[in-house]
Amino acid sequence: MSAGPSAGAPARASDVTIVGSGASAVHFAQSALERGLSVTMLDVGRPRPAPVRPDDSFAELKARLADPWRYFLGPRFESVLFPGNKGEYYGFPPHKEYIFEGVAGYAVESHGFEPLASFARGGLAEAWTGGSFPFNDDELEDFPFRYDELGPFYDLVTRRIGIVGAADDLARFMPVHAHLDAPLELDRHSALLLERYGRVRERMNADGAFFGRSRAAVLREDRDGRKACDYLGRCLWSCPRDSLYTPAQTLERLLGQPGFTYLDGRFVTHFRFEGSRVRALEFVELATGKREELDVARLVLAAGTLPTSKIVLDSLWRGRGERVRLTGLMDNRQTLVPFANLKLLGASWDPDTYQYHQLAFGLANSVAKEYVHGLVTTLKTALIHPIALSAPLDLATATWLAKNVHGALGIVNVNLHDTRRAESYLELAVGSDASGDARTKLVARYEPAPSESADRKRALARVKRALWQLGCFVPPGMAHVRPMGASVHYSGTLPMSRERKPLTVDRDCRSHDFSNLWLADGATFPFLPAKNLTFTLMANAARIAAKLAV
Amino acid sequence: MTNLVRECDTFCRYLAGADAPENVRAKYREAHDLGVVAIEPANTRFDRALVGFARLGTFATRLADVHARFFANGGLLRRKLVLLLALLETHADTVGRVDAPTVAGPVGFVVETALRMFVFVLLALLGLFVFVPVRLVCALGGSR
Ligand SMILES: Cc1cc2nc3c(=O)[nH]c(=O)nc-3n(C[C@H](O)[C@H](O)[C@H](O)COP(=O)(O)OP(=O)(O)OC[C@H]3O[C@@H](n4cnc5c(N)ncnc54)[C@H](O)[C@@H]3O)c2cc1C
Ligand code: SF4
Repeated sequence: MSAGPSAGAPARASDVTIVGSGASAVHFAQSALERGLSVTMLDVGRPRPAPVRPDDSFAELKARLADPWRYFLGPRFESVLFPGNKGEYYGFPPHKEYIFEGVAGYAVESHGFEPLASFARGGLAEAWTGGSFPFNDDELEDFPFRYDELGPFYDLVTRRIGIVGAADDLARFMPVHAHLDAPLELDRHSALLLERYGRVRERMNADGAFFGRSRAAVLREDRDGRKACDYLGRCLWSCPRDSLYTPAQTLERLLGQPGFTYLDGRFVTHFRFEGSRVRALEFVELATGKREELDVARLVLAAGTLPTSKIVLDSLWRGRGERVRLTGLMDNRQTLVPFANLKLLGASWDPDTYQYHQLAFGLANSVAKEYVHGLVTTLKTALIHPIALSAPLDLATATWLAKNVHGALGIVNVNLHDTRRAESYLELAVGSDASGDARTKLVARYEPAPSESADRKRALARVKRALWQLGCFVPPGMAHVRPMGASVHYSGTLPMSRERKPLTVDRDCRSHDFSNLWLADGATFPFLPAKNLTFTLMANAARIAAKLAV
Repeated sequence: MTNLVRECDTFCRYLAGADAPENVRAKYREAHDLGVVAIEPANTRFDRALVGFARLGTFATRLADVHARFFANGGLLRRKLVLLLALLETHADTVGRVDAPTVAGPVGFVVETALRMFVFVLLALLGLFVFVPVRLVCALGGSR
C-alpha cells in the first residue's frame, strides 16, 4: 500500500516502522523497500514552503521581488543579526525557520551544550551545506566493522543523492568511493586558492596540511526530477532547483512507492514493550492533540540522536520506572576562522556561483583518527552586515572595509573529533503539568575533553599558518569558537558495541535491550571523527537496512 | 518629514552617502513599529542621548557610532544603524552603495585603510571627551 502524507495507518503493522524522515530515516526506508519490506514512517514532518521565483539568481531576487526585505530579512526582520549575536557570520534565512520550529512535548534543558532539533520533513539536513565525507579505516577503528563493509553503501548513497568531488590530495584522508561526479566550477577566489596551493604544496604538506576540493551533495547533471546546479548563488536561502540534495527529495520519491506509508503530523513520545520486545509506538496527533498507539513488528528509531535518545529514555521510564543516563554524548567543536586573501583586496566578486564550501583542509595528526577537518567557504552572496558589525570599528568604516574586502573574504570552519566520555550525557527530568500528568524533559550536559582547548589552539595555529602560505591573512581576534551543539553532529548516546551491554546496539544497530528495535541515526556512533557525519549516517542506515531479514 | 524619516536619511547618508529612498524609509519605519530595534531592558538615557546626538548630522552620527562601538555596542544607536545597513544591502537599488568595491586594487586598499584608521582613532579620542561627561550626567540622573 502506498500513501501520501497524513494518510491513516495501515490496518496491519508494516514489516518496519520508522520514526523520522531525516537523512538516516529515508535511506533506511529506501533500502528496506528495495528489499521488498513494507514500511510505515511516522514523523512530525513540517513541510518546506514553496520556493520563491525559482529561476532567479540571488541578485535578480533583490531586483525583482516586490518586497526583497521580507524574503531576505523576514516579515519581522528576524534575520537581521544585531550586535550581541553569538558571533555568527551568517543570519538564518527566514523561510528556513520551519526547520527548527519546536514541538510541544519536546523540551530540553542543557548545560554546556546548545542543542538543535528538527521536526521538519527531511530533518536538519534541509538546512545542511551538503558536505559529504566518507570515514576511513582509522576513523572507523572504534566501530565494529571496517571500511570494506561500509564502502559499498557510500557508493550506493552517492548513486542515490549525487556527490561531487575529486581524487586529489585530500584522498589520503577521504576514501574515493564510486559514482563521485566531477566537482562544480570554482568561483574566482576558490580557484586562486587552489592555484596557489599548487605552488606551496610541498611546504604545506611538510607541516601535515593538505588542501583540495570539498565533497558536496550537489548535482552537475539533471537527474530524478532534480536540476543541475545553475550557479544561482542562493544555496544559503535553500536551492530552488533541488540541485543541493536534501532528504525531503528522497521522501518525495518514496511517497509514490508501493509498500510505503507516510504518517506525518505525529509526535512519537515512547514505545511500549513486554519483556524484551517492543509492542507498540505511542504518539500524539498534532492536529487534534489526541494520543494514539500503533502496533509495530520491527521498530526503527531515526529521529536524530537527541529525539531518539529521548524516546528511549521515556520508554524505559514509562515501561519500567527506570531513570537511566545515556553517557557519551558527542559533537564536533567548530571554530570559524575568517580570512582575507591579500591578492583580492578591493576586487569585485561574482554572485552567480555555488555558495557553500568548494575547498577543504585536512590536517594530519600523530593519532590518525584525530585528523582535523576544515571547510573553506569563500564569501560571495552572504549578507555583509553581520561581518561589518563584528569589526571593532564604527559601522561606516566597517562597511567600507567589508565592501572592499568582500571579494577577498572567506571562512574556514575548523572541526575537531570527539570521543565518548561519562561526563557528557543525556538523561530525563520528570515533572508534571497543570493537570497533574507526567511531563518529561531531556537534560543534556556536555563537558569538553580536558585536552580540547589545547587541541583547538594547536589546530587554529596550523590553519592560520596554512592560510598564510596560501596568501591569506587572518584578522586578529576574529576567530569564533562556536558553542558545543552548534555543529549539530550529535552522536554516541546508544553506541554500537561488540559486547552485549545494556543501552548499546550490536554491529547492525539492533538494540541489545529489545530484540525488534533498531537505531539508525548518530546515537549509535562509538566515535565522532572531525568529518561531518551525515554521509556516514545515510550509508550506515542503508547498510543495516540491507541486513534485515525479509 | 517625521523625526524618524529625518533620522533614517541622516543615518543613510552616513552609511551610504545619500538620502534613503522612500521604500527604505518605509521599511525602517515598519521595523520601528514592530519594535525590532527596542532593547530589553528599555533603552537607557545614555542610549537615547547618543541617538539624539547622532541625528544632528553625519559627522555627529560617526562620532557617536565610534564611541558606541566600544561603550554601547548593543545599544539603540548601533541597532538602528545595523538595521539600516541590512535594509540597504537587500534591495537592488541600494546594495551597490554598501556592497561593491570602491578602491582600485590592493595598494589603493592599503592606503585608504590606513587613512580611515587614522581618522577612526582621532574620532575615538574625541568621542571620549564628548561622551564621557554625557555618560556621567546620564548616570547621575538615573539610568532609565
Ligand atoms: C546549518 C546546518 C548545516 C549542516 N551541514 C552539514 C554538512 O555539510 N554535512 C554534514 O554531514 N552534516 C551537516 N549538518 C548536520 C546534518 O544536518 C545532520 O547530521 C543530519 O540531518 C542528521 O540526520 P538524522 O536523520 O539523523 O536526524 P534529523 O535530521 O534530526 O531528522 C530527524 C527527523 O525525525 C523527526 N522526529 C524527531 N523527533 C520525532 C518524534 N518524537 N516523533 C516523530 N518524528 C520525530 C523529525 O521530524 C525529522 O524528520 C548540518 C546541520 C545544520 C543545521
Ligand atoms: S548555486 Fe546553489 S542555489 Fe544555485 S543552483 Fe547551485 S546549488 Fe542551487
